[in-house]
Amino acid sequence: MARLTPENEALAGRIIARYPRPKSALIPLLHLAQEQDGYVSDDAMTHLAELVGITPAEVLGTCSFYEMFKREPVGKFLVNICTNISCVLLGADDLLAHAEQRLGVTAGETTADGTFTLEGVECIAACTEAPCLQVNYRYRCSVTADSFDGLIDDLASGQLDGEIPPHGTVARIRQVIPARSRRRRRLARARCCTSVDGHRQRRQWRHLMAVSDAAPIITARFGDPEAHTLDRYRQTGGYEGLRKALSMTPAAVAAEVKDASLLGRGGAGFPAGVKWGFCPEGVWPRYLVVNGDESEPGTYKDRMLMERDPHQLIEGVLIAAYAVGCAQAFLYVRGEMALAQERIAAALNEAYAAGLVGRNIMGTDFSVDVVLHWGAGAYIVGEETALIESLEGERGMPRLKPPFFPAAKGLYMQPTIVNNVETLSNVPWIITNGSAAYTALGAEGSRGTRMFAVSGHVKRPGVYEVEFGTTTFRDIIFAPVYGGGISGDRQLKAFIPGGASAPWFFEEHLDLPLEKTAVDKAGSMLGSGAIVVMDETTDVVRACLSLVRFFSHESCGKCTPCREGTTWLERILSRIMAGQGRASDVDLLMDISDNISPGIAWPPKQTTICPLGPSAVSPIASAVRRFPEEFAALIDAAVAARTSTPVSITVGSHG
Amino acid sequence: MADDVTTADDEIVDEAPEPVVTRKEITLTINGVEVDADKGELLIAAAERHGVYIPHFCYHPRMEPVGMCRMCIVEVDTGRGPALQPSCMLECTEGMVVDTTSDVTTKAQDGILEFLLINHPLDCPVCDKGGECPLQDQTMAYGPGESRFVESKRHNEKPIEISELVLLDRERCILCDRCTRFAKDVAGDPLIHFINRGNHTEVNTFPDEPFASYFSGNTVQICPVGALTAVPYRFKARPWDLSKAESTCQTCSVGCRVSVESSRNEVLRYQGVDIDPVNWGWLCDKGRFAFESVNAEARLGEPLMRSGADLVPVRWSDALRAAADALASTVETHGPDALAVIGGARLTNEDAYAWAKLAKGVLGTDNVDAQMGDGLPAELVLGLPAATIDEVCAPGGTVVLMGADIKEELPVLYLRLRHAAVNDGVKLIEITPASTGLSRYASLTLVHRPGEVAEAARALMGVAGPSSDFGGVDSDTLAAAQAMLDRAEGPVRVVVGRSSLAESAVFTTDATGVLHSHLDDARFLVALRRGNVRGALDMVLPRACSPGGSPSTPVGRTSPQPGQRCPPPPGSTPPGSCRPPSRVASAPWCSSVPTPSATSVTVTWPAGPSKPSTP
Ligand SMILES: Cc1cc2nc3c(=O)[nH]c(=O)nc-3n(C[C@H](O)[C@H](O)[C@H](O)COP(=O)(O)O)c2cc1C
Ligand code: SF4
Ligand code: SF4
Ligand code: SF4
Ligand code: FES
Ligand code: FES
Repeated sequence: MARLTPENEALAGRIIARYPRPKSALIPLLHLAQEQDGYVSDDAMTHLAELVGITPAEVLGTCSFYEMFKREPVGKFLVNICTNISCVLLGADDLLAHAEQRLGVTAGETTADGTFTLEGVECIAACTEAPCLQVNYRYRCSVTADSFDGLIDDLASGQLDGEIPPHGTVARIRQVIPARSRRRRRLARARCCTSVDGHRQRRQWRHLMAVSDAAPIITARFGDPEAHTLDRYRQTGGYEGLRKALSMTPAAVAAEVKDASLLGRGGAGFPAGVKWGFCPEGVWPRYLVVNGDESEPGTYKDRMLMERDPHQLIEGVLIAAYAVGCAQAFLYVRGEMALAQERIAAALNEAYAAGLVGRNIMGTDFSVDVVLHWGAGAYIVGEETALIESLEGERGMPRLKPPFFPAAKGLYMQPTIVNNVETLSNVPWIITNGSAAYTALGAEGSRGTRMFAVSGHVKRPGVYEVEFGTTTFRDIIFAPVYGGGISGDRQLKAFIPGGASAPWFFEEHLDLPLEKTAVDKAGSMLGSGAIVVMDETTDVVRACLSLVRFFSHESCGKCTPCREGTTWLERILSRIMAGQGRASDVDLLMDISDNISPGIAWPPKQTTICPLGPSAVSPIASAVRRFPEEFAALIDAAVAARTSTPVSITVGSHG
Repeated sequence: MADDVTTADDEIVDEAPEPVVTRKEITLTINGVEVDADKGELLIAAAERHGVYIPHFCYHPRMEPVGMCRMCIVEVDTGRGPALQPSCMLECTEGMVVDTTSDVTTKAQDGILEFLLINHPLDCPVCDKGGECPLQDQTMAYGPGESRFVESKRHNEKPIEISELVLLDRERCILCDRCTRFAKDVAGDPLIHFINRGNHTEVNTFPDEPFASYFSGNTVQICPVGALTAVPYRFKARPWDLSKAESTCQTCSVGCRVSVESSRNEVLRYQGVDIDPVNWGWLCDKGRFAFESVNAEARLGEPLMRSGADLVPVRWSDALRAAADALASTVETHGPDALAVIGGARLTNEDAYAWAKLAKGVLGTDNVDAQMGDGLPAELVLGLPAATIDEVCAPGGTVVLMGADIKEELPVLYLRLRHAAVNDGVKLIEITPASTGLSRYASLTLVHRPGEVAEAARALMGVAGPSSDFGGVDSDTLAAAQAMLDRAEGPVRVVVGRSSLAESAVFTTDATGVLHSHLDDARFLVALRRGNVRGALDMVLPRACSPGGSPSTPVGRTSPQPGQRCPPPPGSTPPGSCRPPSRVASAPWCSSVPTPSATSVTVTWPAGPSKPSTP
């Protein structure tokens, strides 16, 4: 279709102006083009190339990397049904089949009238409310066949047009960065002093949250539906941490966080305060990048933090930026999270207007620009160097570490601190209450509290903030205040302790405390705080396939073993599932795994650039080692069937 | 004929660019042997230097490593136990212990090779690359005997035309990023790109926007498989049938090193040869594919003689006799001065010497030239203090580019200058009537009115007359350029050529004189168009003396001595007016020499036996 309209071109100019380099605006601009036309046309890409000063081929390179950008028109409503692990355990396959039947299309197709496009997608971070779907990136959770039909009826009749904009529009609220000259120079001190007493007395949001002995830290405001507004945030002590931080030296703030031993919550569990100290002396500018790309199957926490308490995150960002000395911070929110983007945009707009972000924050001479940025559908962009590439407007392909450690050579090859949303959401509390209060919670090696999403076959799936170390897996899966036990009181078969990348745990691991060191030692990780429970009825080959398919689908394609290996693994598993297994398949699965992750050990070694490739090995190694008989049963049946009746199997050209 | 010409980029690791870091020798152990390396040297290069070949696909010594194919992973112990590391991304460090043959290394490399092959069509028998294909070679050397991959392979439409010259078979592509990296980082034409993701990744162009780069042919040469093929060479020969001779491209004056490859007495392709001082292995498409003219139908293959309105083929002996007669009779009737000899600027120095000797020693005329209105006066070319390409591109330097659009005229020099500007911190100041291919990379572009380059040069040197409007150059840009020249570290280099053949060379000569007089120690690279103009001028120009000999008058290569300056140029002339050539003659390096022209030179005809005899 078309180039950008004059109004959109003007908007594009303002978006570009937010970034140090024009190409960084590319993903937001592609969204703008898609918002205008419903898809990204070749003409629009050519226009964007002119605006950003690159070639159309480069725009296409970026555009075609990301799932959300459609190069052909799609239906008015894009219905994305999650087909990943937590949802599959709770019937996503059936839901998708029902949807195909109801809409009369197969996944990937558009209805004849152009109203609906149906897709099966990977985890959309609502795993505790499975099975779930998104319509134009608006959630519908715990969907049944009936509720699906009702939804389709409502959409078709236009009843939901107010809530759900046509395909192309993601967030309807944009961040407005005031022109520099108009930025408020000083903030009346009196305005930000209102504070109710402390964090401990806030209501807990009983439905989703329960907390062990300690009061919640980061989910404290979750029960309050208005907590995302600046007024309410301030009434509940918000921005006091920032005020306190600004009265300290940046070094003292960094030291406080370091003393708190705040572990990164993105997956690797690296201490945040230590990381902040890695920026090389005297190299400026420095950037802060907030990782809000949450997409590890089973993981559901960052989205909640962004939707429900955006100011808490922003306050954490400001404090971190102050401690590290960043002049600009980028809040990278996953593309599919429309509401999170809106809440953060609105919160940033409020905060800018109140002089909490921008020039001369709280009347001090500390200034920092916080830019809301968003992705477009690519799990790998959660990896920090891929996140940086993506923020530079590139394809989200990881950089090799070494040499490209972000703290030394990150965004635009400048020192860059990348931290997870949950990590930074802890920072205001730590500064307000002091590191000693924080380290009083948790166990040696893991301090404070942490959010865990418990999903799959449990009675009370949910997101729980628990104190590190004092709770065990048994507690969080079985205790009535948490998971409440296995659905239907069936037996536990296996559980994933820390997101799809983590090796599985079993019965014998139930009494391990939720604490980094212990879990690492036992051969897995707490990773992204995602506990996926599988009961005795689980088809492990199917579960394995859904996880491996995820990694193969999300492989960026940069390095050979992951690009080729994960796909190969997926195809073998599919073949086994389809009754075309071969006797050699299990050995082959393990040997391919070994070529991706030599030794298939924990922590994993890798022939790949980043840990995504080895992540695909975790479920295979776990399932094959623990449940060899399930693979054997499928394969034996296939072999037997073949010997009795000749079946043709697809055999590709040989090498 | 040199049969062992090195063309495949894979064999030139030891010619990789010197690391810019200070040379601090360090010691490491590779396969049990202690070896040395430069600090910052990549392990793969150091190993190669010491005779240890590490298989690789994406690494190319003339491009930034990306560590993508993973073929080069080897076990490295830097004190924390052995770990697999890509040797193309790893800099050597003191005490590093490397094992390129351990079981772990071998298993990992075999695994990578298998991964690369599962989706590879293995159509070697019909692939141009077969016989010189790193993937094929690796597979032969280390590959598995049979495939464990029973699924169907990835299928793509057979070759797609990504430009008029280059075809892409996506099925064969191993996604090594060499072509795309070349297009972006070396040529600056990112018109091919990775698109899609994961196992669907492919190289492609934007729809309807071909890979129209002047350098596209290099991607064919560096592609480690047969995914990229050149239209003129496709299916023409097998590598083992080719005879190769190392030579120099004569399509322009850069003089890129080439390997001329032919089979059954027909030239089939040119491949770039990596040499440090010139082309680093690259060729432009003009140079790479111009060989097609050798076999062109329209090319004259035999002498023709005019007979009335027609040209009639004749035997060589008849043609030569007729030419000799014509020359002799002209000399007899009008004297040797009536003759002029225009020589081939694409000849070797030896050939140029021969025809110059014919002209001067036999025919007795000094009316010789090797340029045809597209060059610059020989005195200027030979008289200016010369700079090599390496000197011009030396890191951190400041270069004035005057006149020619280097990308259009001397493409590989453009690559070198672009590299210098993008990677080596060289500042380019352009003086040009229109933006050029290098303007994107220039620190400053001084745009002047056509024909007023000398005004612009004077303005830049701060010697413009009071009424000058600097030839139209914006005064802020001018001031910035002057400041940049003042700050320049080391001597300034000047690349000078003609911006337009429609205007007289005098403007350029004039402007060059200005820069030469005012820029201390500046050295000049004269951007001539034709292949070996420089050599031809060297051989033929010296007047009144034997060709190639030292001139008897202070002409030729006599450069101004240090401290000896040109007189300041006379006052400015009104913009746009033609200046007499004598302006040039006022510079000391060409003081007594008028521009060569068939009317102004007098030499005596030397009598001798070599005088052509009349039949
Ligand atoms: C394949 C892969 C995916 C990742 N995805 C995420 C993610 O979605 N969110 C996140 O915060 N970190 C993710 N990470 C971890 C980041 O690379 C990085 O370690 C983290 O954002 C750092 O923040 P932290 O120190 O606060 O945890 C991922 C890492 C890998 C290897
Ligand atoms: S391991 Fe996979 S995701 Fe990571 S860089 Fe390699 S191909 Fe990309
Ligand atoms: S076409 Fe050739 S050079 Fe380009 S990525 Fe593929 S294999 Fe590498
Ligand atoms: S730059 Fe000149 S010498 Fe080099 S390949 Fe091109 S035409 Fe030949
Ligand atoms: S939302 Fe379905 S698995 Fe996470
Ligand atoms: S050659 Fe080193 S990874 Fe490709």
